[in-house]
Amino acid sequence: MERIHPEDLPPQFGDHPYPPQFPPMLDDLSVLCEIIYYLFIICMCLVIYFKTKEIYELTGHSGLHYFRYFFIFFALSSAFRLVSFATLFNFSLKTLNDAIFLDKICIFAMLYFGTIAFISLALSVLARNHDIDGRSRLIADAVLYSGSAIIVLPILVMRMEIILMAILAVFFAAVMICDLIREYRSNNRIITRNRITNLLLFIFWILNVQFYAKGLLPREWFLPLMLVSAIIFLSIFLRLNKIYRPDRKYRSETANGAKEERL
Amino acid sequence: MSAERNRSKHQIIYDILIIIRKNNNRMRYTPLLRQTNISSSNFARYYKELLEKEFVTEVVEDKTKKTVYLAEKGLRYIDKYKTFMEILREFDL
Repeated sequence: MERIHPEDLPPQFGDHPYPPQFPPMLDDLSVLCEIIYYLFIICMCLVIYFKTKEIYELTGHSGLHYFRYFFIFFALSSAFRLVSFATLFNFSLKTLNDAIFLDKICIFAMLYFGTIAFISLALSVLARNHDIDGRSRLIADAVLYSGSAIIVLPILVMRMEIILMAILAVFFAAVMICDLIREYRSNNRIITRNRITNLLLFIFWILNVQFYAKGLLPREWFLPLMLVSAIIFLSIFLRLNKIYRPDRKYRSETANGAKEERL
Repeated sequence: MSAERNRSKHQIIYDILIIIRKNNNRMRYTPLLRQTNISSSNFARYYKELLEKEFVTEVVEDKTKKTVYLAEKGLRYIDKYKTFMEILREFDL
């Protein structure tokens, strides 16, 4: 068997030359809950993404484009968190270095895709009433992918996730303020269901990142926060499902509904 | 003119497709342009997009007369348009 030097072990395992154990906060129940949570989130995100696929393909609407991006990239982010768990479960002395390397890759992917997801959510808000088409959409997408990598990579290398949280918080707050000013000028509505949902989704993701970064909140808070976060995703799914219900009566006051009758 | 400004691109595309559908899924280019109530330059832009997205097909007769046919994808667009608008309204997109 290969001899592993203590300095090769991750810091939380100290100098013990034994097979590493889960840290105390990662007991069986919380790991199971977290796995169920991520599986649920992945399912919800994929269902929402594929449910809107046909309409997006027909319309190519830019707001819908970034709205769908949020779900697919959040699903990817959650999937890499699950893979990260799998590396913990498959820990053995023989593959310790591989496992640590794989875990780092997974954490990078989780933060990278999560960052893309939340910037996409912000773009879906900014793209309201503005068509981002053709070349400008390609440029926006390229900036989205490369910008997220530029933000996440150095932060992960330096292990300063708090900076990532701060950058995203400032960006998201700026987008929310722009949106509020724009909407207030047009129809005086400040608090809407979607703004609250977007804000909560963002807060829960930031909290999720800080749990990974072992930051401010105690680990016991994770379970209730997961529960609320799952309820938000479920509510989005139910709202979408309501629209797709075959017996749904469409509101007839839309300008085009009336127009269709006239034409 | 103001009505044209207030309609979104998707609404205008929907209106054009509805006009063709009401005319038994086929129509000459010029009457279509007249009925859509938008400028000819704007109509040309939307018409190009309709052709590119394969919502309509065109057949040129006698080298000049264009007949526009509603394609299967165009019918699907009409079918899904209300759901699309509901999604935009529900999620503030």
